[in-house]
Amino acid sequence: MNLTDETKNGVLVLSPQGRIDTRTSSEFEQAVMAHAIGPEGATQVVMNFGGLDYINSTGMRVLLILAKRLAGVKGKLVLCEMKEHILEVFKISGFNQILTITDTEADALQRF
Amino acid sequence: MAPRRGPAGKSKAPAFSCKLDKDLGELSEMLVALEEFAEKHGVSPLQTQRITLSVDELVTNIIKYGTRALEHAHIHLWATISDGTFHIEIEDHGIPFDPFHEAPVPDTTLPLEERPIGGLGVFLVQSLMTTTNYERIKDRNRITLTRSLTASDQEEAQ
Repeated sequence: MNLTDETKNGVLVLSPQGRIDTRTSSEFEQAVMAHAIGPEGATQVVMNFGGLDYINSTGMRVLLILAKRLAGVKGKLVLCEMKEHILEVFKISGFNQILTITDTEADALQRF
Repeated sequence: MAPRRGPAGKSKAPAFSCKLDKDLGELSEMLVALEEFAEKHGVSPLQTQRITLSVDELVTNIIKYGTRALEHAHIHLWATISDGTFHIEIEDHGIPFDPFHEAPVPDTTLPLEERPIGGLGVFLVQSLMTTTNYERIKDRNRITLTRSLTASDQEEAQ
C-alpha cells in the first residue's frame, strides 16, 4: 500500500495504490489521518481509488472513520474511480448511500 | 501437505492448499497465491476478488479473535474448482464460533452518523458467496464456502 497526496482547487486528493488489507490498514489509517485530520488537516477530501486493487473491511472501516470526522467539521469526502469489484462491496455495505462515489476524479472535484 | 480428501473429492480438479499461523503477513501472501490460483484456472477477476475477500475476512477474524489465546493457530485452507463451482474449506483450532449465526448482522441502511465502525466482514462473505456453512468437529472449526462460477458473472451479489 502506498498513498500519494496532492491539492487541486483547495481539495486534498489522496490516492492509495496497491492493496489495503488487515496488515496494511493501520498504515493506511495513519497516513490518511495525518493528511486529513488535525488542526492543519484538510476538510475537503477526494479519495481516488484508480490505483487501488484491493480493500477489505478493515480498510473500509478507515473510510467510515474519516467520513464521520469530516462530517463533524462540515467537511466532505468523495470517492472516485473505483474498480468494479470494490464498488460491488461498497454497494453491499450500503456505503454508496452514506458516501459520495463518482466515476472520475474530475466529477469528484465538481462536488465541492 | 499430508494426503487428505479435497473439499470436492475429485482428484483431477484443480486444487490449492495452504497452512498458516496467526500472522497477517502470511495471510496477505496466501491471498495473493489464492488469487493467482483462481486466475490461472480461468476464474474471472470479479469472481476471484469475491473469493479472496471472503477468505480474507474469515481468516482475519480467526487470527484476531478465534485463536487469540493460542500460541499457534494452525489454520488450514483448501480450495478446489469443480463442476463450475469454487469450493473452499477453512479449519482452525480456535474457540468454537459460528460466524454465520453468532456474528451480529449490520444495519446497512443507517445514516453516516449512526453507522457503527466495523462489523461488516461476515456480512460481506454471506453476500458474496453462494453458500456458507459452519461445523464444529471435535476441537476444530470448519467453514465451508462455495461460489458458483456458472451464474452470470456480472450479476451483482446480493
